[in-house]
Amino acid sequence: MKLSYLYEKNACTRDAQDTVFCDNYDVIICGLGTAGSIAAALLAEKGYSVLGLEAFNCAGGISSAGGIEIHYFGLPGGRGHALALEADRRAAELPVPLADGRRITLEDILLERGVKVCYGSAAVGVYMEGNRAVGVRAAMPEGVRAFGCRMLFDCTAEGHVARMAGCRGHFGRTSDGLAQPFTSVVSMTFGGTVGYINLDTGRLDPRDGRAMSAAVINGRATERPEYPWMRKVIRPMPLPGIREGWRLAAAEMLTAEDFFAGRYTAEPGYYSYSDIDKHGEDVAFESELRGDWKVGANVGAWNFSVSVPWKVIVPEWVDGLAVVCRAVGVDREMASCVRMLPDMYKLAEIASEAADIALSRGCRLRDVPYMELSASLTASGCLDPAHDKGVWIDGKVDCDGKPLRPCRIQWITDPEKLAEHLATLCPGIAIWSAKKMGESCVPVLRELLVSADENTRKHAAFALASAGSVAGADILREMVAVRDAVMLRDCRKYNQHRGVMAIYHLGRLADAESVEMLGEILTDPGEAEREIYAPNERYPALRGFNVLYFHFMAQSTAALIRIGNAHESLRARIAEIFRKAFADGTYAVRLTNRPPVSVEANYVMNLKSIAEKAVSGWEAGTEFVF
Amino acid sequence: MFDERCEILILGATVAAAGILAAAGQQAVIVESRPDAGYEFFGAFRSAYGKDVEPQSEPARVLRQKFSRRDSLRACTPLFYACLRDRRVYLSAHVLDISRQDDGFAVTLCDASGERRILARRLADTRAEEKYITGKRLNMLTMSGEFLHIPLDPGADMIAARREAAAYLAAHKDAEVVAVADEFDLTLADFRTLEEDGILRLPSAGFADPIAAFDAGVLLGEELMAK
Repeated sequence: MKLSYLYEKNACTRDAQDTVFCDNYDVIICGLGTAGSIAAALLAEKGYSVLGLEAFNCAGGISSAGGIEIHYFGLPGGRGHALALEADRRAAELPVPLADGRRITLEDILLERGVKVCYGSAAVGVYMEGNRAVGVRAAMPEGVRAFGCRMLFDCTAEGHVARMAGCRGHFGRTSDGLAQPFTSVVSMTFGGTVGYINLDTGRLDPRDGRAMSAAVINGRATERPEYPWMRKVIRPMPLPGIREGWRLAAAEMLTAEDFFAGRYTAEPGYYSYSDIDKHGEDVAFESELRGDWKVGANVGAWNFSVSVPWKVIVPEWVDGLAVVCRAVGVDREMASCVRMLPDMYKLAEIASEAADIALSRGCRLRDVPYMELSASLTASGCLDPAHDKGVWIDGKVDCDGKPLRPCRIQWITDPEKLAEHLATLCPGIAIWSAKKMGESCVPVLRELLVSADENTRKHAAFALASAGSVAGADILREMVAVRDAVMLRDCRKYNQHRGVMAIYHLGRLADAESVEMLGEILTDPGEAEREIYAPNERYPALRGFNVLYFHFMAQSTAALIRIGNAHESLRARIAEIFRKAFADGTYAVRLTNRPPVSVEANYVMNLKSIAEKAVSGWEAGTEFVF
Repeated sequence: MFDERCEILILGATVAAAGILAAAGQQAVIVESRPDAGYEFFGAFRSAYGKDVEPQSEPARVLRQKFSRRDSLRACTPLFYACLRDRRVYLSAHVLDISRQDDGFAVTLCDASGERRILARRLADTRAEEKYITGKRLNMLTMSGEFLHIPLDPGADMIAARREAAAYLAAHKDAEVVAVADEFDLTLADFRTLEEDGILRLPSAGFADPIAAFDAGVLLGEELMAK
């Protein structure tokens, strides 16, 4: 037997032959958070002995100590969800906020079922027999202890246990390795009730202990005089709101590329329902798939259901271990689709059912027969084909703040029917449909470029670009030249301005003719004075960050990098533009006066880093990858 | 052999620890197993915040002046965290081992990065050891800004405390509690600085006021740095 552990971020092993477990359990759950507490209760209900190790001093994780009482999406159903509702029903009977009540009632549910709950306790190593996890080394208030188990659940949110066990995984975006901004959640009083506010405070890598601590401290130390309501803050919630962390390389992965190509799993565990994560203002440096969806088509806040493979919880080669938290096997585009509270309840149920079958049969988790598992999940309502509901415009209010009537999206397959949508300020369905149709819709769209209707003409240029055609490039350039300030209305929030969309498409088309125009956006000190960037309702200057100007700057930077990638002869000129734009740092002053540790300052300073990375890559003969 | 070295390693990211840090700067390292800091005052919903304290040290006087411009301890949270900025403060870090060395203490800790070893010339523990606790209560804040106090057995753990809190809340449906404290409000028998087995003990929770705890930390830090 060996002990597998992390040393300065790297998985290491040392001999542990002499280790004597102080106790043995059927299942050890590391992390009694949203998923871990439900999984522990479900397994104990089945009669298994369960040890729950929780680093903090309560159960529920982000749903209690994190102040996230609800998530905006996800679908109900299943035993795990029912158990969470039971905890909430009991909590509602107490005169405390739900997040506080959950600490009491989730704990009750665990204790009633006989789970051994250990607070202030964290896994610091995994005992391995070959590639099988057989126990945990835990740091506890009474000292370091070793426990044996038949099955180990990593419910740490960050996949800490899986990383200790040597599982492979992924982190951050390709362009710069960064993750979504995290939030410092605070509770506060709102006219007689208690609510929670997300304050995006920066970016962090949850695998880096020093950086984690610094980020939490900076977030809490930040004064926010611009928010008068901060005077009503009750407290910062103890757990930071981390939206994105490490993701497991699982036995089966859920990827956006597969999803958008219509390749779905043959072994779904449940259907998630969400939008692609929209946090973070520098979408310019996200993947092209996310860019095409969110900026190119302006449908970033549309929801869709995704069939989630049950094996996203199964590591690709480590046995005896299930990853039951945000760190499951998804790519980062799909990550937001599996991190809502209902997703955690369902992953907890899938893992507990699969573990039950594996432990009963004496088989490996990966070898659990799908028919048996799916029968159980279907019977409970966790796996419900009715949840496969497609793409929807959903939410409570529309972009005008009026009640939103949810509607299902049906993609257009007849090119002749694109025009009616392109004539409106909601052309997203036609733009994405054109992308799906490809060349077959180009002749029809070309005819629309000479339409007398401005919307039709401009939106046809977007649709053509989405279909891969340069035919509308002149019109795209015109939109950039006038800094087209019209904001489209496809989404309930985070709609794009046409000028920004035009820059995005010119970059995707690698349009050499737009280099000087994009360079002007980056280098002209007078650019910031344009009326389009003046504070308005959507982009108030209150936060000391000119968001729209930043979007023009960021998309121009990304577009120039794409053009440079495609045209070697233009790289020297683009490098010159970047030097002029970013060398002296005055661009940052034009964009923000937020403190250096703020997420806004991070966005702004990152422009320069990305431009420099692209140029140095070109000098070394490599292209920048988004 | 060691990944880091420091003059003083402080156990517990308490207010007293922040005081030591104010004196020792980058010479000090704080190791805390919880995800937050200052919990013995801020997280415990204690109410004092410096009004009746006359600090002896300059850093504590400055902090008291800043605190005095706020209307509650919880409004002082950013001011406290600012004391920890850009310092070697490791939250969510668990101590795995402490061993004596000729030139100090070898401390193995584990956080999200994994294990690392720190060599510290001195060790200070600012946490509240069970043996010193004579009083324990769980505080709750109400909508009107009042604090409710649930008295507990000094040996009670958080699970027992929640049972008491649940019973209280079930019997007081009109309590309008807006938050239950994350940490115990402790009373300690003796909170003078002690040295046991070469480890300095300055339990921060033993002070009635966070400014007093911070001040005691600064004075200890100055004394240690002068040696």
